Amino acid sequence: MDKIKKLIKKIKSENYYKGQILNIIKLEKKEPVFADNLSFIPEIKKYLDYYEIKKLFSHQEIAISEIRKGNNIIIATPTASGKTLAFDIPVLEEIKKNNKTTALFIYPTKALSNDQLNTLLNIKKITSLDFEADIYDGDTPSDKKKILREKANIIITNPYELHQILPYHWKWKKFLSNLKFLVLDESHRYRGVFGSNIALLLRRLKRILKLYNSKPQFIISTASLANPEEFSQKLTGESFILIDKSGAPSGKKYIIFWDSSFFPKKNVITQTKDLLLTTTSENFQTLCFTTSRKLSELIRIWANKEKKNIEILSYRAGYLPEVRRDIEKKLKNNEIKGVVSTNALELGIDIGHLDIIIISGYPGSIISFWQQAGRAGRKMQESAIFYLPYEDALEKYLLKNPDILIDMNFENAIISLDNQNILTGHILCAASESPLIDKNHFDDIDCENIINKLNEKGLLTKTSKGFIYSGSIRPQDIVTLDNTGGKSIKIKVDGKILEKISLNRAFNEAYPGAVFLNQGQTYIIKELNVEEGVAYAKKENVDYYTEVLKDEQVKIIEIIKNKEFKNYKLFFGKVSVTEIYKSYRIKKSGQVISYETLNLPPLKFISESVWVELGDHIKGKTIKSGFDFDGAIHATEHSLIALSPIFAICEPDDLGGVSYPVYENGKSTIFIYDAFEGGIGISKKLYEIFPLLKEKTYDLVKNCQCENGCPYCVYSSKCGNNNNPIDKYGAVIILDELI
Amino acid sequence: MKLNDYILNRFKVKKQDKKDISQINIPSEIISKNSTEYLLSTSFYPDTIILPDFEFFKNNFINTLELIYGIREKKSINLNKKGIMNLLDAGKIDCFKEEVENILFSLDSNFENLKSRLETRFSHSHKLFFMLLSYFKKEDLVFIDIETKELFFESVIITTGLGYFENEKFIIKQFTILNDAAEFEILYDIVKYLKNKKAFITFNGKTFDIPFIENRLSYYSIDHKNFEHFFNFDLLHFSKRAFKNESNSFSLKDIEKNILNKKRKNDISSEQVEIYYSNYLKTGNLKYLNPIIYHNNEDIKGMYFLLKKICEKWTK
Repeated sequence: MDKIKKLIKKIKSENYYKGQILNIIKLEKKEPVFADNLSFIPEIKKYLDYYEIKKLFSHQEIAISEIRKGNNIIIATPTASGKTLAFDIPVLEEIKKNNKTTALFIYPTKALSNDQLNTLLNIKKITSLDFEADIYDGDTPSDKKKILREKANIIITNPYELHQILPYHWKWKKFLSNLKFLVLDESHRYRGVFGSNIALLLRRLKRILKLYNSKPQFIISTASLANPEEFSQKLTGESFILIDKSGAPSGKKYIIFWDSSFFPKKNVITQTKDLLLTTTSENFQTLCFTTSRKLSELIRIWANKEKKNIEILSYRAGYLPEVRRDIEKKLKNNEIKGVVSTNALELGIDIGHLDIIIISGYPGSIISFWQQAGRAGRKMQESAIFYLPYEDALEKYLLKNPDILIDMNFENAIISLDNQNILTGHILCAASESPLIDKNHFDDIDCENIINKLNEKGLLTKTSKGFIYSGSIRPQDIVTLDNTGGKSIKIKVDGKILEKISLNRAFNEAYPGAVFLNQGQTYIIKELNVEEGVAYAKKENVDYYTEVLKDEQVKIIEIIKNKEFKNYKLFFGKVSVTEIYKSYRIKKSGQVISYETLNLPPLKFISESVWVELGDHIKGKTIKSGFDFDGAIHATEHSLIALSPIFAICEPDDLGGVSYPVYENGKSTIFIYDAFEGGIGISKKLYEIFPLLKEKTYDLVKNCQCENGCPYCVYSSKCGNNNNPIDKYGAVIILDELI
Repeated sequence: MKLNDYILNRFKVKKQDKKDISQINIPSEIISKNSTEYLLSTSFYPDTIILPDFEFFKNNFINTLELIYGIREKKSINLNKKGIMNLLDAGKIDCFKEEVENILFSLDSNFENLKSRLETRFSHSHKLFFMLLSYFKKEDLVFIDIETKELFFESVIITTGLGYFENEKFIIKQFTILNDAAEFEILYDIVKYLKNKKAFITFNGKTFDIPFIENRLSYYSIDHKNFEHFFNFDLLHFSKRAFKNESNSFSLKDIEKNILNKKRKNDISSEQVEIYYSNYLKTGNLKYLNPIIYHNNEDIKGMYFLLKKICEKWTK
């Protein structure tokens, strides 16, 4: 019997085990697929020999030969399959051929930048290849920056730095004129609002590169996605060769789906702690991921209280660097058996190979799930991943439908090039970097209309050299890459700014009376002054949390696309949304303690929406079958929204919805809209994949074993009407009709 | 019903159709290029500056023992007490011999080498850097000062003032945009003015004026390689050293007041430049540009007299 099977047997004998293991999926050991015969320059050969790499994997071979041919590539293979090496090799070969060659590596985080730099420096040390590589970011001293711009072959930076340095492109003349490669590693991070900003930032970069006659090759790496080609095209405006078949080996893996509801007396957090204690006592090195800093601390404290002989540590981004480095080292050297972490340990930090991963709570996307899971069994050893979902429709759905998680090909990374607010900001930045001359400013995006409007408003001026920037504030200081540029609210504590959040988020999280979370600390919001753009907060330790309740109204402005089906019509278009935040509830350990009313102005914004117009007979059929139609359509709306993030990666708050038993036009209609001014492309994607969404939603509701609806199927914690009326079985009738 | 145009027009400022050049106090002309216009104002003054000559620089150089590595002011005084007064004396001592030879060699070598040598020992405010003026003829020098819409480098230059020596006169040429589109035309023409020059005289030009202009030239892809290597005599830094006991503020206006005993009349501040420019844009009346042009003209004149004062003080 193998080790993992023994462990499972042991778990099943524990007191806390009440049949929670719902499903065990075994992923068989995967043998490596090697490249046939790739030749290398002697230096690279030396490097490979040093690590006793006799042959590269097949996907690395394809990547290297396509890059050598001068093609743009996107590598979408799992974590730790050796993507970095696949592009480092051809980049270094080219630098050896021509020492003037330069390459720009863009990483979403500092930790990842450091990792790449260490890899390159290590290659340099082993091979004695002659090249200069370094990190260029906000922490680089200015005298060093000057040298790097002149001397470096490879510069590793992040999007925030790129955004700031583009106006000074002339200082980068040498580097940009010789730019052969543009590498975007871990690019699946560039999605949603952030990704849409990055897509426009890259178009600004491409525009500048034209000034220096540079047309670099794009090299993109990403986790597995449903839409790698569409994603990479939208991100960069280029076309790519997709490499998605990994030749890397993997050890046997068990994915164990744990349904904590089998033991209602113990909540999922306590069960996580129980499991962690069993795996570590059985001598398996275990890393447990949780969804918040607070939970990771709690699990550690409880675990250490219960078994004093096993040291369990916790890890999060807020710790001092020395403390973090120490934990990482201990993990790597197998000096500690167990660590409880937030997603801070998900990526880019070398902690070696672990036996067991416990994922307590869905990390928000399938990509993140696999990045956490990928921490186990990186070499060929056997490993296991325990997944303990929390009380949530989407999580429960994944528990019941493991194929969605295993397949990894359902998630679409969303990028919108249509959000007028984001586009306006980047057009102004671009105009300040070099006059807007020809019409194809951002190759595939039509900007003419906005440029003319900005000219009328006096923010751009037409000159013989093109449109120049005439605003009175530096545009790069106004445009930030993680929001849409709309109104924001500063959260202030004792006169100091704690955080800046969007107006939409402020209405959801920073209303008077709300418990606001920042770095694990709780604050109470005393006042939200929309006009001043400030929310005043006070630091208070409380053991409850708050949830806002809102009503939504949607008005159709413009139908952009529509499709007709047998029993329904599907639309995508522009809508005007009015959200009325009427009250909030105070909750403690999942129980509602009280309801409080709110007095906030309505939040109005224009967005994009997908909407379903139900055939007239559906209402009759629902009523005839003895169900409440108003409750049925409401329940259908909740469950459709709940599953949407599986198909269009987003946060639960990124979408809003409203259902009308009778809309203005007399039709029964369900709206799902992007909760951002101008929209961010989520509902646009939902329009495309709606048949799949409704099919999976039907499975979710129909197969839920609850009696009359529960948080796992048709209840929503954000519902302004407190899930009233709600009719689960009526929803099954509607969803059945849609299929 | 059609709205009454008369009533509507009462809500708008009346724009002047034809620009009345007599509104500008300094003799000016309107230059039209590529369907845009700028204002070129010219004024000149008698020139009485005497720049340090090369012999003077050489003497000072040789007398500066601090050029030797490891010697700072204190050690230099100690050496003086022992009768070692200059580099020639120091060259007779074995431990300094080789280095002194190298230092003296740099004096005979080209300007760039000499400058690099100085840079290894002193900050740019050092007297010897100022005396590098002796390497230039008066015709090589150009004073430069700009007035901008905003302080960030992505904004527009409204007035560019140049000052230069010609036929024993100090001439000030000022280029002022009459709309944002004229900025390119001015920059394009200014590069021609700078063609035969070799060094800038500025006040805080190292951090502001010169990089600002460079950024704007690059923005419009105007080639300006020739003055990337101009030496910049930034009078702000020399003033801080020369007058450290005589003034506690080092804005150009305060130096003029405290050191040159000059007080500007009705001058505006740099922050007001944008307000006057937008008043001009709103009305089309050139008179609103007067305070900007006056302010810029005063700045360049101020730099001229400041240069003269430092020359007098340091070449006594």
